[in-house]
Amino acid sequence: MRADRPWDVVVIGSGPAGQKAAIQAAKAGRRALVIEQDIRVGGACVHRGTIPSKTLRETALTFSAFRRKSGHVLEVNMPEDVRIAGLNSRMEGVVAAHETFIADQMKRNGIEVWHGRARFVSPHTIEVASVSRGRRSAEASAIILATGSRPRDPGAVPIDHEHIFDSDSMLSMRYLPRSLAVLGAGVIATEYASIFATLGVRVTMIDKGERPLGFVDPEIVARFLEAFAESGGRFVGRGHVRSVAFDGISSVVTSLASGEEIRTEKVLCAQGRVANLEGLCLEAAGLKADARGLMAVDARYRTGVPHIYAVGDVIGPPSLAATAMEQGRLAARHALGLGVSDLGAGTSPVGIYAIPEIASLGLSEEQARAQGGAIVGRANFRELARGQIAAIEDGLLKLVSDASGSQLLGVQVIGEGASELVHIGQMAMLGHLPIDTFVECTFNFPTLAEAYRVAALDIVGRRAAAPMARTSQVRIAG
Amino acid sequence: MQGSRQPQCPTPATKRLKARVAAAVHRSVGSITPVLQLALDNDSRFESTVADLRQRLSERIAARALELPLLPDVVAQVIALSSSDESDARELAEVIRRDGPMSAHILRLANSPLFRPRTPIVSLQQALSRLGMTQIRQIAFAVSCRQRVFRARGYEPEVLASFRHSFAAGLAAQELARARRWNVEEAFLAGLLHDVGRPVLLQAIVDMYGGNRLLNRHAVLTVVAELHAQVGGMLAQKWSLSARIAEAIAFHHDPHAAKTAPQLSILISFADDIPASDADNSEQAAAALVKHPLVPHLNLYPEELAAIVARRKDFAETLQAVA
Repeated sequence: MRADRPWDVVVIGSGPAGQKAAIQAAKAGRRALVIEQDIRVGGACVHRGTIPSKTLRETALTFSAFRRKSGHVLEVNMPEDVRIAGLNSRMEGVVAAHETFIADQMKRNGIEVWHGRARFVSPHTIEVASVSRGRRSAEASAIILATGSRPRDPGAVPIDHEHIFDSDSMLSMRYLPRSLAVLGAGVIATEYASIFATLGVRVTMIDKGERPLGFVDPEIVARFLEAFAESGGRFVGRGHVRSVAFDGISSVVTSLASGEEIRTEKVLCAQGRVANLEGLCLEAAGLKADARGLMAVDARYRTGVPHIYAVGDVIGPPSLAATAMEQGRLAARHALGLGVSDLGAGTSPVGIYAIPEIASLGLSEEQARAQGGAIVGRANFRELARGQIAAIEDGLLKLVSDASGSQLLGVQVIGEGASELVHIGQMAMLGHLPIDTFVECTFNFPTLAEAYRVAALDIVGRRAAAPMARTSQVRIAG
Repeated sequence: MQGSRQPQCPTPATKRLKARVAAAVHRSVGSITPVLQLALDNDSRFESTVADLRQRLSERIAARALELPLLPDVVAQVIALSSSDESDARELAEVIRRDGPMSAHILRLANSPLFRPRTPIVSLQQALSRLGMTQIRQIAFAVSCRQRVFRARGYEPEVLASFRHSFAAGLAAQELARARRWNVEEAFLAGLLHDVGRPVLLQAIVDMYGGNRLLNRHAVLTVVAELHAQVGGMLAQKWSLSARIAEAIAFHHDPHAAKTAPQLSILISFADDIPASDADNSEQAAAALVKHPLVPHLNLYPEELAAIVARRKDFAETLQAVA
């Protein structure tokens, strides 16, 4: 085992959070080392999560859009025994391109990458053991934990990666199953359930909650459930799973406490994720995971040991790639004594790549009302020329303003393009622009962005009907 | 100008292939008595026989004139039935019942220690529900291949050894795939069939030379070892198996040259090198595997590898029931 000269920053993990942390350090002219246990860089995001599932989603979208946009003139039916590999033929290329891009970017910035498993030897020293059992150690002034997460194994569900999958093995299926049960109703469960339903698979999503995506605006979720049912999907709320077992012939039987038995060809178990912290020997650094198995951090992503930071999935929700990237960048800046801006605080968008797509930002209607009242403006995509032309008629954009109808507090969108559309609201919130800005500005026609104008006009109309709002309007005008 | 081939510096891939050929020949020829072995090694016609066999077989391969066996009927039916929503275990049992040896194999496997039945399995339908459709499909494939493809008159010991090795490689491949979260069924099939070119070539040689007992056995096995991967890939194509499986078979001795499915090819190549024998089930065997050059490509950490090596006892039991 040999020790190299100390690094300014050592980042453990090369997923979105780790990459951005290392790049930030390198851009600041510091020596940065990334330790990655996989043979490839990019983390679960590139190889098992975001990128592969979104590539399959694009194929599913093309399939459904063809039917929809042709006005159902052309019937498109999936042939039997469709190979997922065929549907996902671009996936390997997309993943490889992304991985190459990340590796090149690290190389270009002079970031060194060691492949192996990291463990703390002391608060400043990390030992790395490679697959071939070679060992070396790295000393660092600052350490950033970005080790990500893996699917939670609920124990009672016998995941064999053959009949019963988790989100890491789901896309190893070579053939599209005829039916699929999805256990869970979080982001990953919802995305896969809707993608497979769009591809013509009989999907049953089962969760103990009353509705999927508990943190999303109920009106948006209701729209999602309508679209899901239209694709042939079924959501079983308050469904307590008693047992899951392969019947030894051709189906997996999911038994619910209600007595219902759901037989499907395959099952996806997506009941949460757990942080990858074991094996790091946290105690050698004076660290400990919290009761939920996560790393507790302060507003600057510092753990209890000041020079050790934690970012991304290891610190818990929202566990989104975009958020993780920003956390990584901010942690590196703070660790290196660079300025940290709070400009983007509270305006991180959430994107859910279900079909239809869902995005949100800031406060929901419910949260705004609890904080002192709200006026909500809505724009249905079927009222927009672009929505009609592109056959995206099930979309909805909600703008949530304060009680006076002047300030934007939140945006919720469902429908194709939602994850892009939400950024218009993000910029308005960052610039503290009044709601009237959307009314007074010109938007291209026909576009989905017009939804902002329609929803803002709705708010203007509603506030005109409310005495308090009128006062507020006068104040804005003055 | 087409001149005589100049000797070339062996590439790392060629060196690996040569080492593997030597090991494969040793594995197969090892079953022949030492006296006969000595006589064969001393045969002065070795080099010329190798050259002649290589040329004749290569010509047949290039002209696509090598006789490739058909996918056994019962396998095609079992695959169709086990993939259909409408079929049930009774229908499948009926198809298998018509194939006596396969029924016997399945019953034997269902009663094997691997599945540890509380009460003896006496009916095929009982066996089907215990083993499951996927297992049945795999067994049907393995047993049919054993009966219809892995045979060549005069080379029975080598063919049997080759089948046992292939089946064990299939089982190892499926566990490796499970650990890496790759497709399990695909890995089993590619592992099971990775050496299928060997019996096909041996049968072709038997057909070409008839009962020529003077044919140098060592030379035959050397040429078979050289060409079997290519022929196996061709057979997989003929059986309409996926391009990924065909490529993994064709490139299992040079997996880095695979274009469509390099990861699967590496996995099969590694499974090919996992010693199947229960007698080898030792700490040393596991330790040697850790240093295998393909381990870093599969990103298998020591404890993951040890877990797979530890399962070789199960593989051996399953093998007993099928072969």
